[in-house]
Amino acid sequence: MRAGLLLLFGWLAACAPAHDRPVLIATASSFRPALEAIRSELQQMCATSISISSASTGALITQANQGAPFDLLISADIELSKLVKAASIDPPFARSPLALWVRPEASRAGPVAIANPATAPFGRAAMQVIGKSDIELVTANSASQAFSFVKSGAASAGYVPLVLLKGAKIPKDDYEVIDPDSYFAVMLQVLRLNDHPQTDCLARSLAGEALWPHLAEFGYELP
Amino acid sequence: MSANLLSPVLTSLQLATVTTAVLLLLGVPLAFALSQMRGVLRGLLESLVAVPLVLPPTVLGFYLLLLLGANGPLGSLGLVFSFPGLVIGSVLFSLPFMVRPAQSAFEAIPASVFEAGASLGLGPWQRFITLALPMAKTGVVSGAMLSFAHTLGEFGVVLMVGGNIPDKTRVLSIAIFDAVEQADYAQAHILSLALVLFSFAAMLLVSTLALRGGRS
Repeated sequence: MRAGLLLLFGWLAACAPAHDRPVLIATASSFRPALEAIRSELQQMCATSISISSASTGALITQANQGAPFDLLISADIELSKLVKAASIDPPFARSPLALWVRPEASRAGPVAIANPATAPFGRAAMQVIGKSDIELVTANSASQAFSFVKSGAASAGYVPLVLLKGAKIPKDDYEVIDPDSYFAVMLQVLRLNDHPQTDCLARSLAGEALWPHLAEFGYELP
Repeated sequence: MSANLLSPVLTSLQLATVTTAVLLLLGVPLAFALSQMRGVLRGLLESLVAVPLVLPPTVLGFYLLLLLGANGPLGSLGLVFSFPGLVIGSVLFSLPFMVRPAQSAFEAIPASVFEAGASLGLGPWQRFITLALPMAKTGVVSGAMLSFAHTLGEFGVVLMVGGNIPDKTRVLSIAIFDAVEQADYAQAHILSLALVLFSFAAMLLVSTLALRGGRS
């Protein structure tokens, strides 16, 4: 029976799409546009190919703990990062500001989008800013989905990462950067989950000076 | 078509093909066995097979994650966040879509056919292969088409069990979710339109087969 199962799984594995083992980077969704922008440079610097998977930091950490084959995890939440088992955690390499994006054409007072505070640091940061006011909120799975809710017009406004607004070239007049003293610092850091030969190079390059100008263009700040 | 678009399409097609093949091997004999059963056991098995029709996919995905995950009883097999793991989830979730049409087709065969086969010395397995399968082929093909189409559109189970890993577990529905989350509506439109067209074509084929089956 066990041999039969192994044969079946072996056959299924053989049916799996072929891939030549690129480095799998799981990233907090807010960092994905910046990571896509520096992807080719990173690949050249470390002579490897990169696959990217994105979700909220909390969702990625759950997946990592369940055995997801990530090599690197870029977390946007220092507290949640501590929950990852068997990971080597690098110091934060960038600070990610929060902004309030209001659709200029919003004709009615619709809900305000925030990321899920339980799984996404920008959601917790937004809740710190909003406090106890009774505005109508719509909770997204991740910071990217909160951005998507506003972009589609489903929400009239949203607390979203500044980097997503800059990445999408949203006019400056449409958003307000939130005072950084009004919420906890949302920091990006690299978690090394695997011993792929290129993970060290990629982790060092992400936090290095060579790529910093690109990240600064997206609105990231030094930690 | 760019690699970003092509990869989830290919992964979905591979998943749907392998799932349908496994369901043909497991689901069709199960449907025949159910059609020949009577009593409490049949009721229990039919209910068990039908549970995915009403169960939220996330429930099945959650329990599969606990079962197959790193800390689960089958964690050492490394099936979670892998293509074989996706196949297991999809087979379980699409099982009723294969079994129910096939079972109905088997039940429509008059009992006298099997009695005649038995009187000619055919055993149960021979009766299944030589009599039941050819006479129920419309139901079996409908079940295969439904299973294939249902697997292509499945979201909850594959997200929970497979995650969102490019070239490995990022299927069409996950790629669409991913594109919408990234506000990449152009990509979401292309992939969604492909699914709409395919789903319509699959349903049209199933309806045509059902009409033909009804006439013959």
